[in-house]
Amino acid sequence: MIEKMLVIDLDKCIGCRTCEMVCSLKHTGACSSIRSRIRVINLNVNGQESSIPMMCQHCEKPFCTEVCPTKACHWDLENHRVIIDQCKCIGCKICIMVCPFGAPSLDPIDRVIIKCDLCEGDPECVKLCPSETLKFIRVDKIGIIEKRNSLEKLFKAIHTLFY
Amino acid sequence: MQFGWSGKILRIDLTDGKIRLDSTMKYAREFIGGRGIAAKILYEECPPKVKPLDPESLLIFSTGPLSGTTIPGGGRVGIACKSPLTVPEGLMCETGFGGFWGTELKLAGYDHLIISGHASHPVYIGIYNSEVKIIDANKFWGKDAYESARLIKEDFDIDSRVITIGQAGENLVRFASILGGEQYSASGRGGSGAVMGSKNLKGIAVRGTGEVKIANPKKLLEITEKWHELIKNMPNYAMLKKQGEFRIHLIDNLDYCTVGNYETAEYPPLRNIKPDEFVETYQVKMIGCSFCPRPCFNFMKVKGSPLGGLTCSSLVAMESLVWNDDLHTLWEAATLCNTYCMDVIETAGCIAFLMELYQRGIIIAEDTNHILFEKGSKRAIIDAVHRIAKRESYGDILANGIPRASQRIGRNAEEFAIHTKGLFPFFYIFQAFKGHSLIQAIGGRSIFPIAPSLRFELKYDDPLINQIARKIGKERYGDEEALEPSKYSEAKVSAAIDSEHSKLGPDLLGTCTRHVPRIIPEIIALEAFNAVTGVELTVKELVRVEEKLVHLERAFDVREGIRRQNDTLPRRFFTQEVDSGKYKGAVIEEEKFERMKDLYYQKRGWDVETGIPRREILERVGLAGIADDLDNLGICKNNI
Repeated sequence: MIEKMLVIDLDKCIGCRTCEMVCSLKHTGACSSIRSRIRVINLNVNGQESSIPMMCQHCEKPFCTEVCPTKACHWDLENHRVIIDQCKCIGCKICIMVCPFGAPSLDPIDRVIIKCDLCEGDPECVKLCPSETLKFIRVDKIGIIEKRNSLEKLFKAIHTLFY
Repeated sequence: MQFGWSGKILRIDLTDGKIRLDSTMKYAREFIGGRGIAAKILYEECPPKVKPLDPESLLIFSTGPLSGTTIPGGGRVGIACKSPLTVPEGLMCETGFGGFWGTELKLAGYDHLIISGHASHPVYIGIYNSEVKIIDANKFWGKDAYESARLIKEDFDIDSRVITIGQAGENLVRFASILGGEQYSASGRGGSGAVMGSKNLKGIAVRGTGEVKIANPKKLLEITEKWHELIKNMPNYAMLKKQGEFRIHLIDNLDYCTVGNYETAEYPPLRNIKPDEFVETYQVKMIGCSFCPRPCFNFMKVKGSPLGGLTCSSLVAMESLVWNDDLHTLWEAATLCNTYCMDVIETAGCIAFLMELYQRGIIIAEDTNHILFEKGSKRAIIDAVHRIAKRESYGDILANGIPRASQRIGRNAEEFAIHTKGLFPFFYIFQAFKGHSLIQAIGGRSIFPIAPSLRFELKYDDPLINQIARKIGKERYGDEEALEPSKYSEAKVSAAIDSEHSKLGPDLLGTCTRHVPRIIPEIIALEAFNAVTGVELTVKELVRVEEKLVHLERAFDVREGIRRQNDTLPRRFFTQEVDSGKYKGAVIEEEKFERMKDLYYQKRGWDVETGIPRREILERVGLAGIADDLDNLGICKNNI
């Protein structure tokens, strides 16, 4: 499968939480923020309110896979993601403790650990994000898009200053 | 297993602290949800002897079956209570707010929240799923609605959502509101904030970690995608995403908005306003409600005001009604209304009233603390907001609403009191739009006449709208000119009636009138309803419930004393032609208006002489019990 990455455009999130609800709807059949694998966090920094969606970063060297006693949490090389095999998960919650991003959580109904699994390569949250905050992008494009955008801004500014 | 609805109504009495649960489903079969259920409960439990600010007066918050699902607009909350502002007092106040609180309430496990009683000292309610606490709020009393939302949130749970009242609600300003979104979205009209303030209730914090069960998850995902697609394909979507309706309301719609106290239609300085620059300079982002792809509040940090959001009518009110072309003044005044938390339209209406009285020499500077109420005076506008919210000096008089204030002022001020059933009319130039004027006269205090399809009266000369309007006129009403604004025709009355119905759909289902039916056809909303609840509901069946609700709400008002003679418009609309602008010369011709009312009552099945619903129609729509109730009170018009 072509390798892609879930990226967040930090400025664009409108805090609507559509991502939370479609995630839980897709994975559990119910609408519930708690059962969502992606969570929008509201942060107030210097009087500025920001909303930022957070989910599993699918680390290259994950802490969670190291500590999992049953290897339920493991790297899925073919699909470029870290996933949790629900059948093997014993719900010990150690992965929650070690993750630097707070990505895993306990599903209150199924009583296993849940985490973003990139939806078999077609993330639902990306499909329905109304503000283009969430994007699923080919890895070779990462950084190139931002570099291009920043150069465009730079040249516009130069043009305004000097011409 | 309950799909869609949570099935529970949470009832809290603040006098004895008792908490109990009621079943939503016992009402849902008849009234679906939201506003329908709230109206039924209010009718049953708040007869005329209960005054709006009494302990027995209920404050009902309602979500709908679609709330808390992926369907946009589910964040909307309806509020039903008796209004302290209306004339006569105690008519049904129906208003609402957006944001995220409604979703949180639904996820906590409740379709409705009903507050009764009076607390003995200031309190706030804290709800964490099934755990409900009544918590001391003395330290928050006296603070504005924005700040108290922040403080209560920190006090109770940082992840909770909080609604609050400001000082206006505490001071029982008759048009005080409730702030729904912590920094935006207040429940505009009718004084729900005063009802909450009378209960000594400063705020309600909710943290909900439950779920809404969905009957057909796959179908719901598909419909959600379709819904988003329709929104994205809206004609102005790019602009709406960037700056919402800021320019639309402040400039584009000026054609059909009045200026001052319904004094003129054109005030050239307003045309020079630069809304795009203001947005560019101050806007932080657009902010909105749960799961909505088109947030509609302009969230701005303007110097001198706290960070906050405003939208639509709050903007226009502090512009054209008060002769104000300065956007900074507008933002400051409207934000102040929000932080004190009182209806921006009503406040602006009071200021417009004072400005006209001052012009005519009926009041002098001495009456208003030596502040001259000249047209557009920034000083007057800002001072008035402070005084009204705090009930200080002349503000205390205006805080009771325009008609009561005019009586207090005397000196013939009553002649210039512009209101329908006690509320300042929504600022449309009603003289030009006969259909709108009809439903404003009969309804009087709907948030505003959203009236889909009837709404085309407003932009009838736009070629595209005109084409659609003529098509609807021909196909639905057999009259191509049905929606032509100046017509008093039977077709117009039919269109008005249909509009009153379709406006109620979102309030029953738990979505937003910005979506349904303007952009999202009712049939899709009902598909969503089916996917969520598993219940089949056709458009026809929905309209039947909407119609039933109209009769129920009318019966409520009739019980409080409303009769045909209350279904009227300010005198000025009959005697003063529009003096300028696109609709110059328009006026309401009394005879034709009264004939339109005759037609309306006939079509509605109400007694033409009194405007009281007849037994026949009440029985036909399934409200026989209400017919009996009116009978016992000697009000019902029985068919002989």
